[in-house]
Amino acid sequence: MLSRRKFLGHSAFGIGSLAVSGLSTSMLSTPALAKIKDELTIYGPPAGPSIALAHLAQSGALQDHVGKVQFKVWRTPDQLRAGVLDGSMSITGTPTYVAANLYNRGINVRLSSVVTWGLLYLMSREGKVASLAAVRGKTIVMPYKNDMPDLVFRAMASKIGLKQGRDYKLQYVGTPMQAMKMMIAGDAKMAVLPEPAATGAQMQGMKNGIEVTRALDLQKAWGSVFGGRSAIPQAGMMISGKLLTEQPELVSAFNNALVESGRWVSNNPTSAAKIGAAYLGLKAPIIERSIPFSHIDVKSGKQSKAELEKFFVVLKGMSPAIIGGKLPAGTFYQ
Amino acid sequence: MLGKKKLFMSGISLIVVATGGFGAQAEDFIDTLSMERHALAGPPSVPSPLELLLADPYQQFDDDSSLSTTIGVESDVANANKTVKVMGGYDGKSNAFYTGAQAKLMAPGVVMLFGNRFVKANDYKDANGDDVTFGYTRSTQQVMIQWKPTPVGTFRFVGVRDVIEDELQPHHSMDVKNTERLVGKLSYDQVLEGDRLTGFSVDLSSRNVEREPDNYSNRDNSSVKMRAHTERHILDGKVNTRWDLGSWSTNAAVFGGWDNQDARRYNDTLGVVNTIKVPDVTRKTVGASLDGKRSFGEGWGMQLGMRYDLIHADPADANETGDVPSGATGAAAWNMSPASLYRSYYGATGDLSRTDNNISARMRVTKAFMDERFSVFGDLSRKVRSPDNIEAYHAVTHPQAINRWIGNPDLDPEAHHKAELGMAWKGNNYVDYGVMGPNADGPFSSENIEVKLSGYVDWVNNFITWDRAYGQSGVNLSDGALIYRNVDALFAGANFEARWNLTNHWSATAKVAYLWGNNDSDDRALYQIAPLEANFLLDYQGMLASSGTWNVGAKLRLVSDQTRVDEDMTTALGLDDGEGKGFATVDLYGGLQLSNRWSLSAGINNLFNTDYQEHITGTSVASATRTKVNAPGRTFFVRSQMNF
Repeated sequence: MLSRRKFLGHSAFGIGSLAVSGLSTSMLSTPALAKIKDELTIYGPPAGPSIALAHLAQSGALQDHVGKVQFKVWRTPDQLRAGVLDGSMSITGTPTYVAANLYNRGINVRLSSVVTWGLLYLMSREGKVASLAAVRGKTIVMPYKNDMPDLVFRAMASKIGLKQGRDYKLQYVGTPMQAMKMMIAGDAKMAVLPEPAATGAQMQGMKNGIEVTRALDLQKAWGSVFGGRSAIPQAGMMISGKLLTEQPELVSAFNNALVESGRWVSNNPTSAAKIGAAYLGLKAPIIERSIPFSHIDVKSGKQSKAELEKFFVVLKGMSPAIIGGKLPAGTFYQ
Repeated sequence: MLGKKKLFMSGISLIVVATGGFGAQAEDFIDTLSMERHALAGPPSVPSPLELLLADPYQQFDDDSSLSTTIGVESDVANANKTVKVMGGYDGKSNAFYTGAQAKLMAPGVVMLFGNRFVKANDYKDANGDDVTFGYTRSTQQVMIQWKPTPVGTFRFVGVRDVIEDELQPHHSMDVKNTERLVGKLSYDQVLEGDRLTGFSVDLSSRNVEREPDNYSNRDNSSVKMRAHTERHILDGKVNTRWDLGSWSTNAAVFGGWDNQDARRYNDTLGVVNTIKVPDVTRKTVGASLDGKRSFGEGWGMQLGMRYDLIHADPADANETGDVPSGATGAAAWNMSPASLYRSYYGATGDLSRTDNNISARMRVTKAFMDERFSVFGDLSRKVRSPDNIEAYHAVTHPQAINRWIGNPDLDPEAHHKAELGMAWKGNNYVDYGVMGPNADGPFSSENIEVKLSGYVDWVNNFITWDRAYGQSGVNLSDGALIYRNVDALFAGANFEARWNLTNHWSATAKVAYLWGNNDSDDRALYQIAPLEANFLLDYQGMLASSGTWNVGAKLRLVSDQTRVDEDMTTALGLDDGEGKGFATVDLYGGLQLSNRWSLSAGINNLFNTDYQEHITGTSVASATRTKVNAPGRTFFVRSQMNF
């Protein structure tokens, strides 16, 4: 069972340790996808939105297409990389930019849907802030250097004219759990945390008589800074091109079922948390409370293309290598 | 068997455990209240916060407490992270309408929970369609507050008021006009970072009980109007310290208690007291306990403990008498003081107070196998219990001896020597009932199952038995009055429970309990021993598209005959109303919930309208009569919940 510490350590929906530098050239080889007949295993990161995948597996929604559907959590980025390359992970949840990076490097994968539209929050022991500009002069604890929380935060700060080091400081830590602990111990006033670590920090603070505030919804801030919807197409489902070719009806059924499961999770956080606790090894009350802040809203890759491209452009502006050097071609979006 | 009195006494710990977030108090390793005994009588247990919204109304003539029907998906509405929850329902078993509400407020370091529940129960119909006199009005209020002034210190307060009015007792000569309980508990827990002393806790509790049965408020009575009034106030305190002593994790505690109980019976026709029922008994307790546990590696573990109780009890009004006018019929008998009754029946004279020095001890050894999925345990204990206020000092007099009920101040404490063996299996994919772990491998995998099995033998020296006066050793009279005496007794029992998640949707439960009790000194069966009982559940839980969940289920309850009874009140106690006749009932139930915000549950109890009576029945009032009352016939229930 994944420990709570380990869970929170990876709770950035796989953003954390999936450093772009880790996508080695060995990944450019064509994966050998397993033939899916009687059994399908869906993979997802050890994070809240994966509950939708667990629900889908339990719901029997794919019973017309697959004899047995399982959901498994990939525990480490290495597991994800290896699984995608050897073809054992033909359907897996992943950060959207990772899917784009793999696609641009020649791996036969597609993005079938966006599952979460952002789950990043600026947490504070000093109350709410009106805008991102309020971090001027502050030190912010940041998990996962050069990965999603860091990239998103720096992109927004840069856009509004804040320069790291001059206008604000980032104190990097390895995991959201470390950041959370520093806040509770009083060693940090502000931190950028993904869900469910953000909710975990609030509940831990509540338990210890410390007020940890959800100071700024970074999704809303993203909308304010870059224009458009208050949403970040943060993570979604990556599907092997081979599966899409061989069993398009299965992929279609999966996409439709995932829309229903995403709605079910958002509508039924208490029930979903029970499923999530069994799969993710985190306490159900934390999962339950984190679901409304996880912005689970499953939309197909095609539906999300405009927002994904806008997101990728911002990331590319920071470093083209993040998305594999260029915007993915249209076939990437399914 | 845990009697209802025990449930009441443990009401607070039930409340605290059920709140989860309020921080469950560890149970005493040596609990001298929880022992093998016959079924006891007393008011129903105080509802816990979860019971406030989910429990069926109390029904003393239909005891399905061994294994209740599955609550189902409505629990997700009751447990949702919402500020206000409300509930309303109808339960045909008690012909009761009931409502409940609960509000939870949270701030950093502070959690507050407020609850209210109201039940109005009425006459119900048995399987023959006949009305059974039944009913009560019950109102319960709860307040719970937890405050953490520092990350390592926690204050908790629990307050409960539970009032039951007009509780009809068709099998007794009196109905209970009023039962009121006020419970308050305040505790503080501090975690320390010492090398040895790792923390301490201080617990204080207060419990007030008032109860007033009579024979005229709720029934037609042209005869003598009788009423009884009982008041009891209990104060308890405990300081526990937690130590890390090398490989031993240890608790060292000191505790004390003050318990005052006074009861009078009145002849309201004459306007006089006619019995000093419990003569202002004050019971003081001080004690200490030490227990520790450690692991030895390779799955071996041990827990050891000792406990000392010094108990002093004193009946202050033992020489007081009733004030029935001398011209009234039987006045002399009515006006016998408790002291004179103790003297007549037991030869107790002089100082009627009593002091007990009780030493208890317990050892439990566990061994875990297979990554702790399978474990076995052996448990040896000696637990000593002093007679309670009723057993030692009850003093109900009456001109007819057979209607007297006299406690015995000379009783020795009863000493239980219990040996228990058991095993437990919990597969990797069994998370909870109805909740499978990820990726179970088919319905018949042992990894989907949780099983608990245990068996025990309890040899009791000086078991405090209820009896009738036949001039036994230590009993001076042979007039058939109800008395208490020490005997040697033997209990043996076995419990089996298996819970099985066949799939993510289908689950099943089997639970079997058996208790055997014997009065060895008199070579007869002990009274009020529940018969062998087996319960089975089959549940299905499904999804409602993206809206919610639903569940259906069935319960089969099988109760065997009870042929080992104490039914002859001319040669024994005669508390059992004949042998228990076995029966089987089937309940059907189901529910749905939408968005964890609204639920509707409904079902049919006793589907086949089985005509039956519980062997242990009508336990709300302690009485020498155990007239069986017909259980409800086929009934339906419906309950809805909402949260905001």
